[in-house]
Amino acid sequence: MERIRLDSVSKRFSRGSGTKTLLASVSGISWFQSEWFLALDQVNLAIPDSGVCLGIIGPNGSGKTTLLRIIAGVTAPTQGKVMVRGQVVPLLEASAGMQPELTGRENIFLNGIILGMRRREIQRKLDSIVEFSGVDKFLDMPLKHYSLGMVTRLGFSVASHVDANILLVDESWSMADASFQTKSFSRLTQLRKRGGILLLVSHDPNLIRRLADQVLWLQNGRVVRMGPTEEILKDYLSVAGLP
Amino acid sequence: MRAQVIRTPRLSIRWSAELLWALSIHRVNTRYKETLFGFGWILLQPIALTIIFAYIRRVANIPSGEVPYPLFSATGLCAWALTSLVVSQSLVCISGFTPVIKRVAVPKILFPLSVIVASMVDLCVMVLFLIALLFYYGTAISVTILWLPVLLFVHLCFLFALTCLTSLANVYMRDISHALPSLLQLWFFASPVFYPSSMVPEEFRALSHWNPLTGLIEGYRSVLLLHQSPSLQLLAHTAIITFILLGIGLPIFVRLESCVADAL
Repeated sequence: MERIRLDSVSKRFSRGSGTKTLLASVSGISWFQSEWFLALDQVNLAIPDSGVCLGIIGPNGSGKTTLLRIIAGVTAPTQGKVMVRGQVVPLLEASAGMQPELTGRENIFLNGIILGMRRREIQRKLDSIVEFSGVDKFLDMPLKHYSLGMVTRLGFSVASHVDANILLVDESWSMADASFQTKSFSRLTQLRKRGGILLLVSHDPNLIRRLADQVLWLQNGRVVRMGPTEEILKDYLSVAGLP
Repeated sequence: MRAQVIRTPRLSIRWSAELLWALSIHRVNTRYKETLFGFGWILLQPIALTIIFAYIRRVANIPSGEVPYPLFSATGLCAWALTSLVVSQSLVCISGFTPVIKRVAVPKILFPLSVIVASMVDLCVMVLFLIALLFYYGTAISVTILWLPVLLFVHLCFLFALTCLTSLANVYMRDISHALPSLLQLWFFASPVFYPSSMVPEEFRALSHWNPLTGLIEGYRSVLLLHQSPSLQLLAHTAIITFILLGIGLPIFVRLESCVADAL
């Protein structure tokens, strides 16, 4: 049985005013809202149960983020069937939920719980989280005094300590310095070896080459192709006019 | 074809409880962080208004029975301060967590709930303040104080019902953040905060009974100052309004659980 399976999944967003959206969402009658935007159109996807990394490519606005949000359960599809087995953790914008007024330590706990860990579990992993992030000297300082790279590192560190089977990844850690990038790279490889599934959204062909076994190419909300990394990347880059 | 989503494992209740606790603690911690007076600010509004109304009372000649007027108005003002604080915090309780809601599947109901849980701190501070005032004025505390937890429970249920609606409304209709200050002011003067509800003109009396705060404030005064049981008839009005608000708010919340992230 697949870990992730999407059967002709579509997602429609409303583009109109909030009041109309509210009426349409509550009543379930789309008549209230006339302006719709189809972000995903009949997407099929199946990922078997094993440590794989699927790269997701496509131009801006092609539905990559929407696809990840549906898999994460953040938003519901408008049509189609979604099946997800296992805990999902977003390493996407891993620092986005961080609170600037809280200290690093408080943020580890708040964010860890938000991402699905239990308090005791965080307590147990605290040393490892701190060590991996490399911010131990600033742990009891409010996050607003951190540099952007430090926040990113802490966010990635917390998220990557969640025992999740499905990891949603984007390039946000490119903000961190080279040594941390290498560190996070080996961390991702390690998580994958343990049987995790990595879904990697990226515009960087080199990153996709290094990590992904397979690539899903999205365009205008539709799946253009899905297959082995090199093959798909070659076609995608030639369409995009790149060597 | 309708959409179908199957997810395993399901969200665990214990994890939700831990998240609720963490969000509430976060709320309490950050509210008065890096302020000089800290939790003293909770009492600022009730104390300032108690002084103002002690003055207005001389101008407007408001009766308060045998009860010292500052005690009379402070009771109403504490109940009001709790209400206005929760309502104004409820506005951004969902939209303030936009980055989280847009990337993690969290039960949205925890955000308004955390406002209520966090308000327990304010509630305790205010109750202690009122008890100190009672001692200062030499008013005895009688067994009717046992009604206090009941009244507070009804009060918090009502606030939760209201919070569910206002927090969602602010996601879809930002008008509410502009309308709220005026609405709160209107509500303040329409509630028997600094005057007894017996002073309400005959033609408005039936209407004022449907104000959920009427039953609550009169109830607090009965049990704390007059040593009587609260008027169950007035409390029934409050309970009915609470049930109506919950009846509207909770289904909408369930319905919008998976749509809120799209609107933020």
